[in-house]
Amino acid sequence: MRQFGILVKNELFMLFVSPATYVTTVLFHVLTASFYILILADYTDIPSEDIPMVVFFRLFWTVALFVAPLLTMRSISEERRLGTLQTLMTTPTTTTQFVLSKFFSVYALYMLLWLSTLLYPVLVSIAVPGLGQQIPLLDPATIVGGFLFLSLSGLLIISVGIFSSSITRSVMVAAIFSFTLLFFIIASGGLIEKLADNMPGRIDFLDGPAEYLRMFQHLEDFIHGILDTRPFVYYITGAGVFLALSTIIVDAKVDS
Amino acid sequence: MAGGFSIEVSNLNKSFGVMEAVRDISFTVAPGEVVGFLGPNGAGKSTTIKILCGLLAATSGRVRIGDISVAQFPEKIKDRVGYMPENNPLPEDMRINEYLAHRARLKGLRGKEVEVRVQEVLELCDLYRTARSKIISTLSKGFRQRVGIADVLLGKPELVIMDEPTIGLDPHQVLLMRKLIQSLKGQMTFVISSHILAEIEKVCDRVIIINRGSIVASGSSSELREEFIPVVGVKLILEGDAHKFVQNLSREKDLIHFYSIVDQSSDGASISLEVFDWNQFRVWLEEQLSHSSGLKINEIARLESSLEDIFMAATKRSWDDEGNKIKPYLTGMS
Repeated sequence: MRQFGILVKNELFMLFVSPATYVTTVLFHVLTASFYILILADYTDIPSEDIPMVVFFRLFWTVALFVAPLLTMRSISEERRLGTLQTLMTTPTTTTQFVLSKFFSVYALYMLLWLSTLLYPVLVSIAVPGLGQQIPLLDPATIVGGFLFLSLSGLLIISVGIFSSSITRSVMVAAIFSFTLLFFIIASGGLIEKLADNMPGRIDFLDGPAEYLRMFQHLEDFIHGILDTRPFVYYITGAGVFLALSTIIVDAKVDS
Repeated sequence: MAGGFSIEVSNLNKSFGVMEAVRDISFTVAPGEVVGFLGPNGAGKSTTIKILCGLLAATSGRVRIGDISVAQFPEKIKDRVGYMPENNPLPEDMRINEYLAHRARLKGLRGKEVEVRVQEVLELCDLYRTARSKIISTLSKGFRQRVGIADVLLGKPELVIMDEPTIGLDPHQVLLMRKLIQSLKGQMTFVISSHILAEIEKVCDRVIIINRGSIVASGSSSELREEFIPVVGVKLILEGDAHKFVQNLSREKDLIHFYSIVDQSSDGASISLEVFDWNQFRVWLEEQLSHSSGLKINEIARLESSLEDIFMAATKRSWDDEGNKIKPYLTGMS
């Protein structure tokens, strides 16, 4: 446990001093702040049933697809490329501790970035006095539900990025692989459902798994206060599987 | 320690698919000994070293570091072994003192101990005044090597394994490195893999030469010299007509293994020789001179074989390359 703590502390420090982190942070805020402004503008033009934060959370997939690969791509591939993984393994550190430290530090940054988006409604309330009375900028239930979904789905999203980074020495290949894998994971539920609609009666057995994999439905449930255990199982076991695979790969690649 | 050895390797084998990288290697290293690990590229040095460090599992055989089996307790031996890989990989974005403090914590040092030990190794490796706060990516090769050495020494390991530690170091730094190892001699066991044979000879008590996955020689320089170089090198400069003398050289096959005429004229000759027995050669030489009027020795020097000669003889590279032609044992003879 001590080794794990030392590794996480160092990883967080390295993220803090790395220019790549700041570039990713800027990209994240440019992306999410633009979305938020556009959502607010739409809402003031044509008010809808869904409050701005709900619409904002629905765009989580863009951040997951673009920002998560940027945050995770260097984590293990860079260590493999430089050879520092080998020197690390000459200390009393296990590959599990190593992979988990990479995962938790990037996950912490990912969640910190999302939490910082809570400043948007606060800043808007300050910048445009009275707007808070006209539009429900901060709805506690929606925010808690939304962030619970983001924290759960983040486990799987970041673990996929860590896994992608473990399979290659190339940072670019890791990013591209992570993007592709995340795309399929996010879209899989919807894709299977579409396929079932187009082939009625032939692949009905996939209805169950499709329902289970639909991330967008999970988000809707969470922001509307419906807490089901199935998404918890899906995201936690999914993250566990990808982290276990990453550990196996790192174990096999220590000496190469 | 079992049997009083710092390293005990018995019948070690390692295969990668059909390729046998290490074949039935056995050797021991005593505590406090400085051992040079030599071999051509692809000989199996790095594979053996990685197995010793617990980074790679052996196919068969037994490796013990002190009294701990590496195969059974790979995690435990990491406290006892300090390993510096060949290209000495370091994180680019960290400062030297930050990196060493992090490594010290990973190696089990706590609190104030970390700061004290980091300062000690920085001073030992001559980094404290010059470079302790520098970012690693800005360092020269020599400084990077020193950071690697400082890292290895952090946890005061019983066994230090260094792969090519002097590569990229300038003569001053090589001297510093040699002094450093000599100052730690007896406190730690060193295994140094290097291609710089002169350096190995200066630093190491004993040399293990590995070729094609097997140990081909093991012992001190003098023991190996005796085993692999059965000749003495001689540099001879004669004054006068040496034609007859040169003709006689080729007849003395029992005494002279090899000779090469470097320069010959009517005024004299410069000859390089390898003789089996120095004393017998001196007697023979005096006899030759007494029969040749006007021929006298201008210069005679006995040449010691270097570790490079031993290495070449042990790995039999020169013979493999050119069949059964008689080749000199000592480099610089041909």
